Amino acid sequence: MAGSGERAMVRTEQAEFLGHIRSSIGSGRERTVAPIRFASSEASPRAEAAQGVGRLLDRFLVELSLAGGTGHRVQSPAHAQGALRDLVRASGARRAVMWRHPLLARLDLRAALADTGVACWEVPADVPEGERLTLMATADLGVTAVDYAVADTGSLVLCSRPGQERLVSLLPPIHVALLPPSVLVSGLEALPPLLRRDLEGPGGASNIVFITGPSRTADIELSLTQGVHGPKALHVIAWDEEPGGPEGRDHL
Amino acid sequence: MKQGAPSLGFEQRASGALKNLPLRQALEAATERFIAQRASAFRDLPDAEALRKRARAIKEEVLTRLDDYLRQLADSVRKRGGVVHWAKDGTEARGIVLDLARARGVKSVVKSKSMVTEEIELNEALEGAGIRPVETDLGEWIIQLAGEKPSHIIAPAIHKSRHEVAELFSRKVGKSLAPDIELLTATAREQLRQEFLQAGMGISGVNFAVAETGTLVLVTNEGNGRMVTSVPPVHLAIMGIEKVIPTLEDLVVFLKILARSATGQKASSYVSLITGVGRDGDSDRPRELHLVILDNGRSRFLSGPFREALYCIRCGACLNVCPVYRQVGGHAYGATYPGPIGIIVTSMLQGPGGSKELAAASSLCGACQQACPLDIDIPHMLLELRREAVADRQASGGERAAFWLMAAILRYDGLYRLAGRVGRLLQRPFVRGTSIDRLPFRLSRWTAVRDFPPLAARTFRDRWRMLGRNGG
Repeated sequence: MAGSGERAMVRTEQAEFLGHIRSSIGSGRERTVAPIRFASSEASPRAEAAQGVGRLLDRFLVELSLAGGTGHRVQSPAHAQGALRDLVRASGARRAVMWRHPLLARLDLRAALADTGVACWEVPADVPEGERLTLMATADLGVTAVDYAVADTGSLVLCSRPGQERLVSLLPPIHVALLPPSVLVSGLEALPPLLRRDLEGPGGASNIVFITGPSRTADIELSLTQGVHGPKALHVIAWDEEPGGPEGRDHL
Repeated sequence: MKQGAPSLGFEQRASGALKNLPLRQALEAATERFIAQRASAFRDLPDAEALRKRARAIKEEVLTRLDDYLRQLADSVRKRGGVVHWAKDGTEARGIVLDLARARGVKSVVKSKSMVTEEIELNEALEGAGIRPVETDLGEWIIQLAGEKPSHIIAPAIHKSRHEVAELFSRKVGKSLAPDIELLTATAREQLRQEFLQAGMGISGVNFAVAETGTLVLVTNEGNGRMVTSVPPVHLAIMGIEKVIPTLEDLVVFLKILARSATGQKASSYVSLITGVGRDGDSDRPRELHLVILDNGRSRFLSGPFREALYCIRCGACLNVCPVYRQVGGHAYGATYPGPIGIIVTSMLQGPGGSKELAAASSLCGACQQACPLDIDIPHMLLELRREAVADRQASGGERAAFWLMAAILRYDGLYRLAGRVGRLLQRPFVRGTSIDRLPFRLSRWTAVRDFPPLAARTFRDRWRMLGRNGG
């Protein structure tokens, strides 16, 4: 059945396909009314932040741990280095790959990793694709920032952009994400307007991922096992407030 | 468990399954677990019923203007550099995939779990063309190595024990592996990682497709959906026409109910939003994105009594609560989509009469509708399928005669009384105490499994009359 017969076949065109669907719907349906719009009723992330970043972060960290992730709450961004150093030492990681990202640069995380003797690199734009893949596939640790974090579900939202590869949070067995308080939102309902902006225009993110806990499966005898394709461990380093006021989203 | 051969009917396959004790234990454990997890996930959701209503309203809106939303989706996908293909049936869909793969010299494809590719038997077509398909969902990979079909929509290998899996994997890697689940999972990771890096194409299904932005949404827990759509140079996604939703706001509604209904999670581990092929500066992106939009019988249901079947988001909740599925498992249905909704979907794909005997594989208890996050009236549709089967004269002559007689008895008073009297006479040799536990001929099939209540010595009418005389 997979022979050349199928190959020579004429394909259904869009007009024919959609015309058939339209006639299948039938004339009984009222189509003149305007489409129903379901607008988001949720408050903006900034308004949510006003109700207390601390409480949002509390909720986020509880949900994260329920999903199998590990939260590291530090006093200030200056302490993020120390937290990263500690968890790298505990994990025994030797090689790390990191997003090219203003927040990570500002926190000087490469220095923290250098202290622990971990080889750390960003994915260079000018090497061939195969090599870039290898760079990410051979790392023990992937370090990323976070675009948004959802307190209700303990989810991280990461947009991939040049220098911020989607595979850094997927191929290495450990994923470490840095979470500034300004990106916390209460529920998934707050995301659509933000995502719409991220998707718009020629520079729009072609890949956005919501990450809730490590990679998991229960496909053998319903036994929950972590790290089947993606990371075995997910660490989130978070802090309550920015020194010198809210950082906003200038890193975007 | 062996795959039910297609020549067998549901009854034979089901009785085979009923004798398979390990299978029944695995089914019970799995479905109990899913039910409990789902219940606890919904307890935390204060507005669950409102969410259910809204999800229904969105689906109804989409189906009313399905051609418009599909056109909008196609335009949005193209605007972001994707290519859209239309397939009216499985033959066309397979042809599209094979042409694309051949033209690019693809030798192996990696797949993330997709019911729609099972539906069109894509793996068989790929193999026929000399292209090696590799399933990457752990459960699907197990099933593929075993040469079987999934037995549950979201947990395809629940019928396999760790020992069976160890045996399959040992054969695959050529060395003996202990039946240790951590070790087996690590083995799969290692093996499949190589497959991802070698594959010339990644093939995925689509959980939701957002018309306004052209975003294809994939929900997985293992991360294989992310691998399939990120590592190979070409990503091909296949979706049924009913997967389109209007906006990102609608997506949030469905994400909230899908994870809870399927696995009892507040959110699945990974939700990927794939919008076009991306920018040149992105270092890890497929260079091509193809979207195949498949009808394959679905449009037949757009009007008529089975319309609601197109609301289904394939969460599997109705399987877990179904008293029939829980006893016999997915293979007994002998179709791609098992369980209560599977019976309806099967009749959609195979055309009228395609699932006549399956329509009887239900107690009409209504548990499926109650569990369904879209509140799909599955029991009503099952009844409708049975009605169609009778109308099409698919019922046997004896069955039709029996119901004709029953209808006459219930319609005419004199006949009713006569039947009562005859019945009381005929049952005499069979009544033991207060029940009938053995009947002759074909009726023995009933009494073999349960007792039959005898007709009362005095009818209700008689007693009513007596009551009126004494009390009045």
